[in-house]
Amino acid sequence: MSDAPQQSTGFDDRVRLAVYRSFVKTAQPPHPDELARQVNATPEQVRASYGRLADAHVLVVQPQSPFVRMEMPFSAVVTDYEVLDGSTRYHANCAWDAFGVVAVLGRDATVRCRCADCGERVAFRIEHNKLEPGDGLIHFVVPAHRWWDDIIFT
Amino acid sequence: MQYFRSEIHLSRWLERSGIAYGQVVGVPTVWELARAWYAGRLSPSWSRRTAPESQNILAKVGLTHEFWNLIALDHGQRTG
Repeated sequence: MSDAPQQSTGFDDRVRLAVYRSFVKTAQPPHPDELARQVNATPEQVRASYGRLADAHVLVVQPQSPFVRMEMPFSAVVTDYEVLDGSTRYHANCAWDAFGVVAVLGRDATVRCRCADCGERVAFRIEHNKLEPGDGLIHFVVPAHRWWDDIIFT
Repeated sequence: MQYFRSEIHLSRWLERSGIAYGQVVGVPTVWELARAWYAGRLSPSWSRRTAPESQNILAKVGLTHEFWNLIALDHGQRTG
């Protein structure tokens, strides 16, 4: 483990990809200790990499914890925005990210949103990169230049 | 970015929450935006875009109102 890079774009890329692959495979990020083993590094080196990736707006770490909360567009916590792919249920950070999960997966899937007003669930099917017609709209509250002021609120 | 079944539902929620109206985007546009924005994330060679590159993606799907301006206060920093 001593030869694992401490501050390297290559190392951070490996961490970034390992987190994505875990989200794709399991709908959850890896445990930091498990990820450290995967990338032949220490948990401290993984935490440092998370910090750099968070500074670069690639992922968000759960406050006061070593765990990834978001690697855009995936969410590690349950939200009102789901993507169903066979037997796997992914959670996304917002309505935009729910469609982003389908884009990252690159396969047919169903986005399920809950109306923020009435709570009714609505599904959108995407097949062969084509969105089947459906009703509704998406409201953006925060102007684009302020998205990262409080990304969890955004 | 929240989903609403219609403008009526959005209006009701805005009144109840006290949150100001921002911008409304149709679901097909958000799908096109998501496809472009998240393209290549699983590629080892993926690299972060510059703010102008991200701005271009927004513009290509028709999001050109100043609300969507990433650059003015971002000073060219890289964005998601």
